Amino acid sequence: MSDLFKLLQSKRSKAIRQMVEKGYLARYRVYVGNATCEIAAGAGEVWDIFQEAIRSGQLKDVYLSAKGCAGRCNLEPMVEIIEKNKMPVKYARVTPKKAREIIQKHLLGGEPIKAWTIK
Amino acid sequence: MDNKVMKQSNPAKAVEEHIYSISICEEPSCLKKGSREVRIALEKEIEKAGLKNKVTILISGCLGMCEKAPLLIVNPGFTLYGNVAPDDMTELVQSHFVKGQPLARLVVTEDHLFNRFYRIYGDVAFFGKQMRLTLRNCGVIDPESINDYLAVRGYEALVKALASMTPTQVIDQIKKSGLRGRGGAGFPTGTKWELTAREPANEKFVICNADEGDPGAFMDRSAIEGDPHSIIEGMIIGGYAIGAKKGYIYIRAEYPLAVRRLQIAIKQAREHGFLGDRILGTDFSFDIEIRLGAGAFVCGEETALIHSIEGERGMPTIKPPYPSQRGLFGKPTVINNVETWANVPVIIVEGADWFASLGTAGSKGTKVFALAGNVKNTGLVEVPMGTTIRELVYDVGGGIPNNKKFKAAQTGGPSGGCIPAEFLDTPIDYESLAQIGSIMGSGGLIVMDETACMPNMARFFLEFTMDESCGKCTPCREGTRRMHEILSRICSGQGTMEDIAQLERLGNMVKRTSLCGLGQSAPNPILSTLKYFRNEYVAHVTHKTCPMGVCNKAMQVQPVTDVDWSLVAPPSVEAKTQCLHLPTTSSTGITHGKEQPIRPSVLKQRDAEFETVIASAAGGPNPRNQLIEMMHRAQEIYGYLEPNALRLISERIGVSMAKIYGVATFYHFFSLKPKGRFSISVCMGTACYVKGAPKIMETLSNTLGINQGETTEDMLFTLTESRCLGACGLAPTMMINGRIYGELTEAKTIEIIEKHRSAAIGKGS
Ligand SMILES: Cc1cc2nc3c(=O)[nH]c(=O)nc-3n(C[C@H](O)[C@H](O)[C@H](O)COP(=O)(O)O)c2cc1C
Ligand code: SF4
Ligand code: FES
Ligand code: FES
Repeated sequence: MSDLFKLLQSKRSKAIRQMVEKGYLARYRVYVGNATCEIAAGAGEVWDIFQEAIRSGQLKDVYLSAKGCAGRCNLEPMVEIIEKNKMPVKYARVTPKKAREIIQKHLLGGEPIKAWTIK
Repeated sequence: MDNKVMKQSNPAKAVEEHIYSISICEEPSCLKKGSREVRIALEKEIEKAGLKNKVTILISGCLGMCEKAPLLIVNPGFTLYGNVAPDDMTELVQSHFVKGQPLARLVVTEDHLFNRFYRIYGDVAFFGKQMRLTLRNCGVIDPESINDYLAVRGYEALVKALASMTPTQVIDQIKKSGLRGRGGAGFPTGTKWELTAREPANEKFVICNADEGDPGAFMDRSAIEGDPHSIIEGMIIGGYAIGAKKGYIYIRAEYPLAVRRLQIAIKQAREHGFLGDRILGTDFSFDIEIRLGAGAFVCGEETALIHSIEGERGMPTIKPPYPSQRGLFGKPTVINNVETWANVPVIIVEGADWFASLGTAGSKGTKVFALAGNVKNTGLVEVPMGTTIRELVYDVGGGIPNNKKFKAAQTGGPSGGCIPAEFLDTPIDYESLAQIGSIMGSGGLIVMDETACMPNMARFFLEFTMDESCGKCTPCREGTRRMHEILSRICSGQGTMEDIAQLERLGNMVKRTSLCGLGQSAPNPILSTLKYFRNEYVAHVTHKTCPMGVCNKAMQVQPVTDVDWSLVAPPSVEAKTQCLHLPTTSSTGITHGKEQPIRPSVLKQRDAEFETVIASAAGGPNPRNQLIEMMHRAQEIYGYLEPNALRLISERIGVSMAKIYGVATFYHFFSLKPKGRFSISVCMGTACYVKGAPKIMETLSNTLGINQGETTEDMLFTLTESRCLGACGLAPTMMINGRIYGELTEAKTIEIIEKHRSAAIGKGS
């Protein structure tokens, strides 16, 4: 019976390993919400900007992931950026234009844009 | 204490298996108490122990527990260490990261105050009073990745149940936890399971009720979209507990994204052996099928829902027999709400005692609310039972925008009531809310500011229930219509004092004598507003107008004349009560009987596509109960219920055309008329209504020159209304061909329409 636990443990380790292989431990992890609310607010376009930046090689060492709804409907689309050893930054009401600037200033320049974050 | 600590973290072997992350707060109050020194000491110890690649340190914002500063959170496991000093770090690193044993001495075990499941990084005002149990993974993991779910202890509850618990023990745990149904009525879940498990039968079923009919609520949608595996895991455990091999998820067709997420999750779960034959090599087999609802509020009622899955018109039947005795296909069935299911894995992993330690005497655990209306932070929140409405509206919700005053909070949607300011300090639990004339409901919470007109709100809800009444029993069918009529009279300034008295009598009568919960609860919005805001009714009567100036505006969309309403049955009710006539050519544009002579090639292509769909259904087991499924597919392929397709369904699965039209007219989602290229659906749900949806509808109607339900002559736009698009936080909203537009204003609406128009014309149509 404890075999079942072992089976689960190995599934879990494999899952984590795959996440790491996908770049989970990158310098920046960027999360963009993708539930109905977020998409209605324009999260899809914002996602595309980040994805394109990664695809084109402009961004390196960045892990981009979708996530469900954190419940902040009126601040959507939200983008959360987690950097190793830094306080996570949550941007509210991100537009494609803001997304490009976040890429430039925060992800490439290392300076979060304080004015757009929620406290 | 030690026990508790062990439970909080991932035991043994963690070192090889896991990559840890430690969050440490470096906001001013923690810094003052030395959190930076702690971090430096921690980094040094980690380096010394050679764990640099295994442990990541995250600097976080306020974690909402400043009195325990400095504070560390270790993930996975969400172990929380409080009041730590630099000197503790050697011991902590050795114990937790080398031996895999959390250091009991420093662990904070007060769950109540703290959101142990959710990593809060800043945004404390919003998250501080929340406790995210059912939403533990929402907004944290990628919902389309089973790897993400596995990484946060996904399917651990299932394995624990299968490996170490008998079905009876599982039921005992659920009973002991005190979990009650989150779909509205609050029936004890464990008892429901026990009753079903006890029934002797060769086959049993579990159902997840994701119909979410409350127009202004979107908890279930978000939960599914953000974390579909939790619900699936809960259902598998439920199946194991009661001895079912098959589960159904009944979900609204208006939630395409949630449906897709479920499909993906089910497929992944099958691939991993969590679903299907002989789950994880045990003797237990279980699988899940998705069934789409078709937009009838009453189908959320459990007996109606069951009939709908069976392919019938979704009408309630008298209980008993309860679904636990004779449910789906006549077999014992457990039916639970999405949120109820999502709680199950938590209870199994964390233990019933822990769950029962949260909340109030009669209501355990947490409750998810969809906060919408006139509140600053609209959104999805989860708080422990017993939190007061004031905390929810002012602390979590941030209060009322534009310096307006709070007037009422509406819970329970069309079945619930309005709670006035004097009861803001009522703790949220099933009994307290019932005591003040509302209900917990499924979690819709609409805040109204001082500009709201209460009789108008009551009228709004009655219009909804009147429309949605299935027409089976007289008190509900006639009663809701009468009450709506009286309310319309009062709102338009033509009511009398006798009308108010009559409304109260009628309400109480309908409440007592209706067959199902829809009718029984339909008068609640009236009765509760009469109780707390009677003066507003009186003002409408004596001043012959709406003191708020709301009604008159709202009435323009739904004109009220002095017609005797009893003679003019609203068409939707008519359709539902006497819909067995085949539609005629004139009313629906459908010719039936003979084959249509020419089939253009587009249609032929669609015919071919539909042919394969129907062939697979007709070849499968029980083709008849696939009826609604086939109609969904037909509408998907043709854009509406194309007559030839319906005929094909009738022939192949052996259902009469009369029955098909009966089903088609019962459900709002189905359309017998071809639609324009752009199908606009304006949300008229509660949240959108409060935020000015009638104005948006009026704007569209004027811009397009058509009424609701019509299509423009150039076949470009069809205008319809919907009951809630599930994006209430962005109210007012509308959907065009599946895409939702939120926070609409008149100007924005016109702009969107013009964009679509020029896009279509540009393409040279
Ligand atoms: C008119 C009506 C509508 C309902 N709509 C829903 C619904 O949308 N979602 C839901 O879970 N329960 C709904 N219910 C309650 C269900 O009948 C049933 O009690 C519930 O699904 C049981 O699950 P629970 O014990 O987990 O709450 C509705 C009941 C009535 C009378
Ligand atoms: S109470 Fe209303 S919805 Fe329920 S069965 Fe009667 S008519 Fe139908
Ligand atoms: S549902 Fe996600 S923010 Fe509203
Ligand atoms: S009321 Fe929910 S989207 Fe309009």
